[in-house]
Order: sequence, then structure tokens, then C-alpha cells
Amino acid sequence: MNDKKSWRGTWQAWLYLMPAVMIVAVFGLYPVIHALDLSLHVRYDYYRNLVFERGLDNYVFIVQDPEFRLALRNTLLLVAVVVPVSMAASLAIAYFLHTRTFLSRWVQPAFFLPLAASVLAAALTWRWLFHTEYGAANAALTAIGLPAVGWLTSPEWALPSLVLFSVWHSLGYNILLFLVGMQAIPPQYDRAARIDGASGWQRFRRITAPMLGPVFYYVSIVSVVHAFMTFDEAFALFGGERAGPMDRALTIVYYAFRKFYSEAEYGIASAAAYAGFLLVFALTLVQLKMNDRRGR
Amino acid sequence: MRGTDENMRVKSFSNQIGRRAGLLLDAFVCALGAAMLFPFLWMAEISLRSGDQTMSPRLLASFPLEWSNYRIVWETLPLARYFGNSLLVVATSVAFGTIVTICAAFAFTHFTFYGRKILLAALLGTLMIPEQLLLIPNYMTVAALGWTDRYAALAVPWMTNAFAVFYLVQVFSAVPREYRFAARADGAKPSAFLWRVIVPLSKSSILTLALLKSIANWNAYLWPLIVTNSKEMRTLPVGLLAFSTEAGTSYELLMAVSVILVVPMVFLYFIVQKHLVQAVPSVENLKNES
Amino acid sequence: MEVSLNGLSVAYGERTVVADLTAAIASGELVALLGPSGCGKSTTLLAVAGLLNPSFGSVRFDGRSMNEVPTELRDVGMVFQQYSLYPHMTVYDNIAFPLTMKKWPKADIRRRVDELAELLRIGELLARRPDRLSGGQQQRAAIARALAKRPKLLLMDEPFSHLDSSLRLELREEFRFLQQSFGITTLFVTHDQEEALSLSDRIMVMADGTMLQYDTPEQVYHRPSSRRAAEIAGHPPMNFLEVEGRPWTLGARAEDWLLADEDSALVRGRIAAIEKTGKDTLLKVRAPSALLRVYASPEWPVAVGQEIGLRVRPGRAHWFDSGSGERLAAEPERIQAESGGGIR
Repeated sequence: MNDKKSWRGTWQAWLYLMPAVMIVAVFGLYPVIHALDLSLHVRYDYYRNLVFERGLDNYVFIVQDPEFRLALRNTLLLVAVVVPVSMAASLAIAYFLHTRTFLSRWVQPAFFLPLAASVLAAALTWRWLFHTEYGAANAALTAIGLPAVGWLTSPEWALPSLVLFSVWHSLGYNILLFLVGMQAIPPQYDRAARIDGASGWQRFRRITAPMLGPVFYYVSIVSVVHAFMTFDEAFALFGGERAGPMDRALTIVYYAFRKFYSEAEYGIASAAAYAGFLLVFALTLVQLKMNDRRGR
Repeated sequence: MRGTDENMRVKSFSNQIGRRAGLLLDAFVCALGAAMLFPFLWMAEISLRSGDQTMSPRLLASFPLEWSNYRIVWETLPLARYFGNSLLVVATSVAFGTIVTICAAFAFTHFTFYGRKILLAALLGTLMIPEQLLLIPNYMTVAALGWTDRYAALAVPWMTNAFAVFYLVQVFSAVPREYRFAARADGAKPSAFLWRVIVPLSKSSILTLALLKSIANWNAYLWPLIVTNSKEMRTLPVGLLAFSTEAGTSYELLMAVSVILVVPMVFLYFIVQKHLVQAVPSVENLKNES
Repeated sequence: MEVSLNGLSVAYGERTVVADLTAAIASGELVALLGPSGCGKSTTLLAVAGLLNPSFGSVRFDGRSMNEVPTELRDVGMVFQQYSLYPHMTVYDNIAFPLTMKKWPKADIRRRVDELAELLRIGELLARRPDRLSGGQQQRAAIARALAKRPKLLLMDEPFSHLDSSLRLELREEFRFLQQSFGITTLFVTHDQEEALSLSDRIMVMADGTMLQYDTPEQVYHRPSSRRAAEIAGHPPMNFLEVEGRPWTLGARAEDWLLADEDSALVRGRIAAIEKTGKDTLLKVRAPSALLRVYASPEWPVAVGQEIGLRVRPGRAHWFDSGSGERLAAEPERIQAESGGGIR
């Protein structure tokens, strides 16, 4: 790379950049602004593409809408449970894969495979597993003497079912990230600790965990955002008009989607989606602040 | 240092309790691994059941295996069309997308130009944006472009993104600068350098990226759902989704379609998996050093 | 082709790495850029190549300024310390690469590559990839590639540093022979002063981004223009002694000392260590104000801890100004001889 900016270099560089920049600008950046604008469309004619009035009415609406409130509650619950559980589990599993290399070669594919499979296909299978009368889950429960449960049919169990599915689905990616993070730690530290007589748990706590700081941090942010914007899993699992019995698995994005796709209320939908985005963004900033204060 | 890695590992579990705990841990994680795979095994198994046995919670409810399910779904649903659509979309999107990403990453790593910093920052910014937010406005954009129900809508938006570009930027940055110097002294223009030196040297990473893109693209169901109206334009996942509302209790047929959806990607996964752990942002991707 | 540097300065951001270099390299000359790490020699080389842009001054090829000419058009061949060869191409493809870029017909390329391979003695290795070659073979191939397009200028950045010493010698000699037969102007960066002294027509001694001396190897070795230049060229490093009460520094190389008795000794000290390296015996002598490294002749009686008196071989002393480090005229010797050893 030349150490001087030049117009010639600039022209050439932009030529190479053009296609990618255009795609990202049109489909990655512009939509953010557009979404904000859409959320402000109060009265409009969709087919003739006319907007008559802009304002914050949509936001007012969703704040007052009990459906949205339910979605918000569900989403927060989801995040509160899925993220810690998933992160703890993936950390443990990643540590195992990292240290027991012999076995991990065989077990690794098992954890990463779900990453390659469509969430829809997986959800449909879980739908079967969770079937109230015939599902294997209930069969297993009754086999050990516990009562069968209406996984996808009863209001109390709808969200837990989603939680279970979400955790299962999220493990692959989180494990991958942790594993990579662990492999980036120079092995000398661990070896030195071993020579000093530290046990497995001690080594993990004193050596591995602290050095995983940045990775942990990154995974937590990504997990929170993903859980907050859960939709794929919910829609695939419950599929359709009602997000589970009495909407008990309704998430913010699910709400937005429904408003958009089924009710053609794209203004409200955008407002809901944007509100969700702002909330999770705020959450991320909080996490950033917390890490700053703690780490240093 | 005394002994090899393996020796040291064995040594740490040399006491009774340590070894037992180690084995317990092994068993536990293996069980967990099985739990992860479990649903897929079920999926395959159910797809091979005969209709009357579908709703049985027992494993291997019907024996012999009912392969006819596959034939049934292939004939009753326009699966060939769906499969073909998915294939076409993935192939074009990934092929063009990879080229586009390569070019962009090359620009960032090997040119100094006005606007580089800003562009990098903007790209970084997009990383923070959850894709669900983009769904509705992108649909509007696509509709405005007249791409609804056309392949362009399915292929173009996902051709490249910040992750892909940053990944390749990292890979390209790891190429020692002497090669650039040598190439320039040899009279190579930037394009020659890119396609004859950088790309061959980064082959494995580029391939990994392409495969990851393929998997993501193939599995996408939400965007294709929104963007297509007609049956003929459906991709496989959307076809599966549509079928799931019609199938009712014919889970065996549903699972058959699911298996058809999943298998190609599992296949692709096994190809990628060797490189997978290095694919996530990490340092050394070049195996060929003199 | 003649190359000239005209007030060449190169900066990285705020830092000036090379300052105001002016020198002329004659056609067919092999000039070594010699200096410690960080002295700016590689930077200078890259600037001549056009890979770095000068912040001031210019590089001229046959009088023509190259400031606006990109590397690709400068007709230079380059060899690096490592990563010279493209690892994913065979040796043949590597050497052929510059010719492919020039769009030569295949037959001509074949002929040229074979010709070079024979010259560099790597004919049987053409189908191999670089990772299956030894270091020496790789550098031969790299040199072949650099020469393939018959460049007007050859630029080399410590090409032999990574090689074993025996290999280095062999490759050095072969390369020098080739360079002279082709008469190709060459700029050669090295931190190995022995390499510079044995290979080059002229040496450009550099330190801290400036040129200290630009002269033939003999001159650089026997008449270093400054203390710093004397330090850089020559191994073991030159010994320096301060003159008491005067702003003079005496320099004498390890091989220029004679055994002396009480009266004629310039300096007295105790032998701290003796290193025997085959043909040489190197003494480390602890004098009151300096640690001297001195080569002992075979007949000297030496033992660790022994007292020893030394004087400099007549005509071999170098005098430098204590402040500026610049070389002085011979005057001070006379004064010193008269005052009879006020050296500390």
C-alpha cells in the first residue's frame, strides 16, 4: 500500500468498492433511515405511494397497545432467560471441546451442525417433539412418571418452549465464538499453570476466563441483540396468525411482522420494529458502559 | 519442556478422583452433543414412517422404512421447482457476492484513498444493525425497484455485507506486503495482483466464506416469503413453510421435505467444517509460507 | 543505467526516516547500503523502487526524475529477505511472472526462463513450489525472477540474511559474478558489513536516516569519515579511547594493535577474556577507561588476568573529534607522541 493518498489511487479503489458499497448502502444503511421514516407515516395510501401525514402517532399507538406490551414483556423474559443460559452452556461446552481434543473431533460436528440446518426445518421437528399427545417430549415425561405438558398449546408453556428451542438453536454459534476465543489464548499460560499445580477448574477461572474477556463481551452483546429480535424461531415454531396460545410467544418483531404482513399496517409495524431496535441499542450501550467501568 | 502435550493432559487426570470427574465430564458433554443432534435424527426417522404411524412417539415406529414419502412429496409438491429456485438464487448470489466482496476487501487493504476512514466506519456501523429491522424497508425498496417476485430480489440484497467484507479484509491483510512489492516490481497492475496472487493465496478462506454465505442464503425463509407472491418463485424453505400449513398431521411428509431442505447444507457443512474454526475472525489463514 | 538520489527524503507521517540523501550510482555499479537496523536503508531502497513516495527530493534514472513514475513502469527487479517468491506458483511460473505481465509469447518466456534457470543453477527445480526449496534455492529463483525482464536496475533488500553462513558465501560470489557479467546497476541493502565490504563497488554507510560516507570499501574501512561510520563497518567494532584533556578520540581496529612494553605502551590493561576462533585469538582487555577488543598474534604470551601493554600499529590509528565524531587530520598523533601517553 502506498503511503500517500492520490487521486489515481482513489479512483481505482472506488471502482473496486462500488458494487459492494452500493449493495450495503441500499440494503444495509438506507433501510435504517427509511425504517425511521416509515414509522412516522400516520396516514397514507400504500398503493398510490402517498403519505398524507407524519407524526409520532404510531409510537403512541404501540405504547398503548396491550398486544405490544405483551410482546415487550415476552421479549424481555426471553432475553433474560435465553442469554445467560445459552452463554453459560456454550462456555462450558467450548471449554470442553478446547481441552479434550481427542473426543472433541467427534463431538464438534454435533454442536455445529444445527448452524447449517434451516431453523424452519428444526422448528418443525421440535413442533413434533413438543406435540401434546404424540410428541416424544411428553412421552419421555410420562415414562418417568411426570405429567404431560401442553408445550405448544398451553399458555404457560408456550414461552418456555420457545426458550428451550432458542437456547438449543443458539448454542452452535456461541460455542464457535468461545472456542475460537480460547484457541487464541497462547497455550503457555495454561501449561505454566499446570506445572504450578493448578487444577482444571482453577486454571479455567484464573487463566482462561479472564483472557476470554473480549470474546465474552462480544458474545454477550450479540446474544442479547439476537434474543431481543427473536422472530425466526418463534414464527417457525408456532407459525401463523397467533404467536402461540394467547399470543404468549409473541415477540416484538413478531408483532411487527404481523402488523406488516397480515394487517398491512406498515407504519405501526415499522414503529414497533424501530422501537425494538432503539431499545436493544440502548441495552447494548449499557453493556458497553458496564464493561468499560468493570474492565479498567 | 518435558513430555508432549498428550503426556501433560494425561498427567493432570492421573489421580483417581480427577480421572473419574474427567470421564463424567466427557460423558456429560457427549450426551449434550447427542441432544443437539437428536432432533435431526428424529426428523430423518419420522420422514421414513408410514402415515398411520406418524404420531407415535416411539422411535422406529414403522419398520420397514417408508421411502415412498419422498416420492410422494416430490410428485405432489412442485419440489423440483422450489429446489431449482433455491439453487439458482444461492448460486448467483454467492458467486457474484463473493466477487464483489473480494473487490471491496482488496480496495480496503491495498489502496490509500480519500474516504477510506469514513467508509470503514459506516461499514462498521452496519454491523450493529439487526437484520430484522431492515426487512420492511427493504421490501419497500425492492417493490419500488420492481423486483417483487423476481430472482433479483432474492439474490441481490444478500450478496455482501459488512461481516463478509471485514473477514476478507482481515485475510487479505495477512498477506505479507513483500508480495505486493514483488508484484509491482514485476509490472503487475492491481487487478493482476488481486486475481493472480491475493486470491489464490486466500483460496481456502474465500471458499469458506462462500460456503457460509451459501448456507445462510439457502436457509433463509423470511425474506423470500415476503418478497415472493407466486408459487413458482418460491424457494425451498418457503415451500416448506407453505406446506406446513397444509400438511396437517402428515408429519412424515413434512419431515421428508425438511430432510430434503437440510441435507444439502449438512453436506456443505462437512466440507466447511475443517476451516470453520479458523473462519471466525482470527489471525493466520495462510498455510503456505516459504 | 545511472541512478541518482537528489536530496531524497522520506517520511512516515511525522517521522523523517531518510533525510536529504544525495548520491550518484554509476551504471553497472553495485552499491551497498550499509547500516544498523532502522537507519533508513530499506526505506531508501523502497523509495528508489517507487514503492514509497519521497517527501522531498527525487530519484533519477539516467537523469530523468522518477517521482511521477509508478513502480510498475520503472523497469526494476527486486529481491527481498523473505517472501520473495509467490508461494502458490511453481518456480517456473514465478520466474515467468514478470514476462507474463509484459505479455510475452509463451515460447519466448520458456526460452528466457530456461536460460535464467541454467544461469542460477536451478534448472531441475522449475516444477517445484517454493515451499519445497531450500532457502538458497529460493533466493536463486528470486534472483532469476528479478532478472527475467532484463531490468535496468536491481534492488535487493538483505537477500542473503536468512541463509546459513556457508550458503551465504557461495551465493554471494555467484551473484557478484552474474551482476558483473550483466553489468546491471545494483542497489543492495545489508546490515552485514562483511557482505558489504566484499561485494560492493561502493558502500553507502547510513545511520539515523543520513548518509555518513559514500566510498569504496577500502576507503570506508581504512579511512572512515566519522566515528559512527567506523563503528558500522568492521568487525569486531573499532576500539575507541578518549584523550585526556583534549577533544580527541583515538580509534584503532582489533587487528591493528601491537604488544608494547612499559615505556612505549599507549595503554595498559588486564586481560579479561580470551576467545579463540580457529585462526584468531581475540582478547578482551580491560583498560582503565575502556574495554578493548584486540587480536593477539600467535607469539603473544596471554593468559586471563595478566597485565598487558598495547600500542597502535604505526599509521593505523584513526583520529576523530570527540564532539562531532568527524575524522581529523593526522596532527594529533604528533602531539600525543610528544606528551608521551596521556591517553586514558
